[in-house]
Amino acid sequence: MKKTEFFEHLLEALEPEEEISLDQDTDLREVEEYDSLTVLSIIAMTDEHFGVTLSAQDFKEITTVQSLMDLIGADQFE
Amino acid sequence: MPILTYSNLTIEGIAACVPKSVVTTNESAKDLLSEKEISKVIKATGVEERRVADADTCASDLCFKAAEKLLQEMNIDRNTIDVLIFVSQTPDYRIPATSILLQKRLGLSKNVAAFDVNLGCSGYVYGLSMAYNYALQPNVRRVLLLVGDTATKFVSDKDRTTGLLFGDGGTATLVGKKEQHPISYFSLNSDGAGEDALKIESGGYRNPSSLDSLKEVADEDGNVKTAEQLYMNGAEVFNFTIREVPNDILTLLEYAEQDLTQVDYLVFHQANRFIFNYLAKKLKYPKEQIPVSIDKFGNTTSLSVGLTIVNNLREIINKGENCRLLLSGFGIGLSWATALVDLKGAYVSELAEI
Repeated sequence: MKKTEFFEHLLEALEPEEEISLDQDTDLREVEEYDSLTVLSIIAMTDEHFGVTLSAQDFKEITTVQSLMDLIGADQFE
Repeated sequence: MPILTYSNLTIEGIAACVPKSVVTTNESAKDLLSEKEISKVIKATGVEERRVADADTCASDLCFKAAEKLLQEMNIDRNTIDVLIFVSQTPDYRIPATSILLQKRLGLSKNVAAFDVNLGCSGYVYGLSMAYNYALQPNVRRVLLLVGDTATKFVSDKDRTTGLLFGDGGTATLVGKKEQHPISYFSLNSDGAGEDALKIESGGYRNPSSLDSLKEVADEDGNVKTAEQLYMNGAEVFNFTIREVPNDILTLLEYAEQDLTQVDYLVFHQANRFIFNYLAKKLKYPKEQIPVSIDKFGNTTSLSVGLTIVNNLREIINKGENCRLLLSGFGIGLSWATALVDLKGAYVSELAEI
């Protein structure tokens, strides 16, 4: 998947109230909408598009968007 | 367990009862969350309101009312009930088993076999398979399955992950014999490795009740609860659900040589709306054929599948058409179960309240 396409999916999962832009270096923990509810949306999104089912443990390790992409697998991105 | 199959048995009738008291999410969350957060929670969980039992009402009372209504309306001779199963995680007493007290309250024969089963969100489907299994015995005429819980009594209303989610209720389901009825299929599963995803840590015999276990403690997100109230890791539960539940459904259907197009309704445990919407998407099953009761009753734990049948499918089943149901319960344990049953000819009683 193209990275830009992935960022769009991630934005859909986060459903930010105000427009925000995401890139690899965005720290997800600083995104207001990143909480226990949107984590479910992210799990669903990675399951649907990558066949990767993230666990609660995985989310303890997630910091930036890049760290989430690393968990999904570098080979999944163009 | 290998897939279970039952011939010449059926669900004869189902009833459910919920507490009268309606608690809206808007009202119960107003001290806990901002208005914006509340609407976000309602959108994700789907819980607009739920029913909450008062201090004097137990799961057994809700099941008793449902059972009385069902037996009276169906004009059932109580002496034909040979087994009474009570599935619940909120019994009347630590001991003895609540099912035995219900034998007396319901005026059932002393020859009845009565026992309790401690299961949560998979409980209705598991309980149904146990009822079928006893009903299979040539001398057993009927099995009465009571599934009920008052989960609102073991959650903290200061915990955002659980405090706004659960609702109470009780169901009564009568299983009996019926020649030429379509075969029923069950798949039952367990994974104790996930015991920490949903748990009440103290108050049992591993960590007995103590002054410490009654102290309110705040977690890193500011949720406050005691060790005798429910902990839930939503991400872990969701991860487990999407890993296991669709596969279990497809395995069962494959065994039954049927597919989802032959299923009239897919009745999911009402965990939260987001979860079953995603399961529907993953299974490519039409959302319109997934009945939703979580909006009015919350996550009703063990009884959600039975309550949803009564609340959403009563008229359809009473007409005797399109009654091929796939039932799916999943959650605490971890434990999950799938059933394919045909409710043609079953009687569904109108939802009762106390």
